[in-house]
Amino acid sequence: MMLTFLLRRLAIGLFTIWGVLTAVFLIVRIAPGDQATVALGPDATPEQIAELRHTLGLDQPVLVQYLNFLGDAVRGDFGQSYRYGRPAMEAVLERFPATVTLTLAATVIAIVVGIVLGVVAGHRPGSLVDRTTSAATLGLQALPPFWVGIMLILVLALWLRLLPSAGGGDLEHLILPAVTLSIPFTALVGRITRSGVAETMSEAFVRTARSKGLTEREVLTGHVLKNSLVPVVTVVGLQVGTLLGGAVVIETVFAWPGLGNLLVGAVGNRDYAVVQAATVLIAVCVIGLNLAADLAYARLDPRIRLEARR
Amino acid sequence: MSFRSLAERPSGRTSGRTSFRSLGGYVIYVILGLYVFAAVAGPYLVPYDPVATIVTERLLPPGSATASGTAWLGTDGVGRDVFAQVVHGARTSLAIGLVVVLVCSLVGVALGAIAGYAGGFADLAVARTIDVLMAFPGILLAIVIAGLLDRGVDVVIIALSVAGWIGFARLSRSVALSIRERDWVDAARIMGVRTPAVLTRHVVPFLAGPVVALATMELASVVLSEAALSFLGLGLPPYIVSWGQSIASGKEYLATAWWISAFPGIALSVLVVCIGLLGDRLTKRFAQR
Repeated sequence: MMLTFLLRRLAIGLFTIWGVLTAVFLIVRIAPGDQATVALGPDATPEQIAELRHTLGLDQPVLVQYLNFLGDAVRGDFGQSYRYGRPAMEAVLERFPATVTLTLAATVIAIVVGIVLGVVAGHRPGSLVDRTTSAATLGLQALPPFWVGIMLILVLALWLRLLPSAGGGDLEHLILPAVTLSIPFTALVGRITRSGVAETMSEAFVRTARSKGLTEREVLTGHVLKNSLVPVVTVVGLQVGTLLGGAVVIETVFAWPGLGNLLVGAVGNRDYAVVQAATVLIAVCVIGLNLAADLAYARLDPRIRLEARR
Repeated sequence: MSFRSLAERPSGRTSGRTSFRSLGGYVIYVILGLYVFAAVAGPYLVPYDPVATIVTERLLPPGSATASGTAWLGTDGVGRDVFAQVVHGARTSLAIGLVVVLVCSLVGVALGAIAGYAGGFADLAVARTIDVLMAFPGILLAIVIAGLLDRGVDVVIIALSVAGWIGFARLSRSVALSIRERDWVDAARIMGVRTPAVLTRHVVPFLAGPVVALATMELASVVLSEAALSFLGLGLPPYIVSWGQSIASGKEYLATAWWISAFPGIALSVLVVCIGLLGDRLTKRFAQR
């Protein structure tokens, strides 16, 4: 049964990747100015443009171009970046690890801080601590991350001089962008943990645990937390993709040398090959992560598998 | 101000602080009312020319006197008034947000209701399209579309709408799925009412409440995305005032003139948080039914 579910999900995933490739192909065709015109600049002669169009295959019928694009894309070939003068996928993969580092760091912060906040708030539902934390998380979830990032630079880097404001590479540079990126996610994890914990606190087994003489700490870690973390696991799995999207903007704020920074620059320069390669890579990551979250969830909860069969 | 009403409460607990809750609600409405006032009347009360530059009045701190009065929130790198940018930005943000949400809700409700009611191929097509669009996280799709097409208001609206209808479609689909099994829908069908009429008369009216709640939440996220696009320099053209652009323009003067980025950001944050709180209230209200 698990195998059928897996195959079904995999098929949908592959179909979605095809859809992503088609969408990316279409966006570039709709954009004004094709690759040849953009790459050669305003001074190019019509002959030069025609020659490059021929080399790139842009003089062929759209359907042929589409099939060629799909064929190349499957092999990871999105063409040459005209700005970097090398294969676009190569340039994109070089920046990818920095983005993964940033996203993972933000995820870890969000999970740790979010769960702590959620437990503190949910432990005594309705208390002042709970209300303050809940209001704070609700507000933090809505704040514009790119502006929060700039304000963090202002206060922590420029006024207090505690951390570097921009750049990348080491741990010092990672802290600010990772914290900024994690804020909405921390708030989300906090809210979900809080409602899980608050609900579990009124369960009979919590009363049993208390009455058998466990300390409040043992009750929370041993009994409450375990039972309220299942929704957190699911949300983390599904939201890591969203974090990847958020990283695109945050990387620009902090000049973090990752994929998002590269992508925003490439969009501005109309470096189509890099735009396509970066967009497809991010989308494939999201599809993969969602698939993994789905499978993990299906393993934890058999009802999901049964649902999918219908 | 009390956010009591907005904190999730475990089921079965009732709050005895009704007066506090409604007070918190009034504050939200008052703040949102101020924004709407600023968006509608502000540009007539606070004149502003986004392309004029007064070099002698650049980077003045908040409260400085200028030739045209007092710059309560300071001036930016080319001597433009930050307060005026905040006021004019409110109009841009709300106008773009409302148009995008309107487009998205119309498209989303139509596609979702049809998919849920008709099932079969229509349902499959909508579901798979949503899968594809959801593979582009956050505002990635908007960045690529708005960035590659020529800059303009219409392009920003399209770029933000491309993925914005998904939430409405999913919501409408699930409601339509359950409503099509109800007796009155069967009765209408048996009496020979045609499908479009069944949809508009007997299915869509039940979507109104949840759709309004979702639209409010969506408005907050569209306002944020528009600001992010403009911040990246991929959104609105420079002659339209936008908080995102103001925040970006202040980034290079952060060390000397923090107010250029800070105040438009505060305006944006307060607006988005208030819309979010309102959406939260509406969602709770319509989920209770």
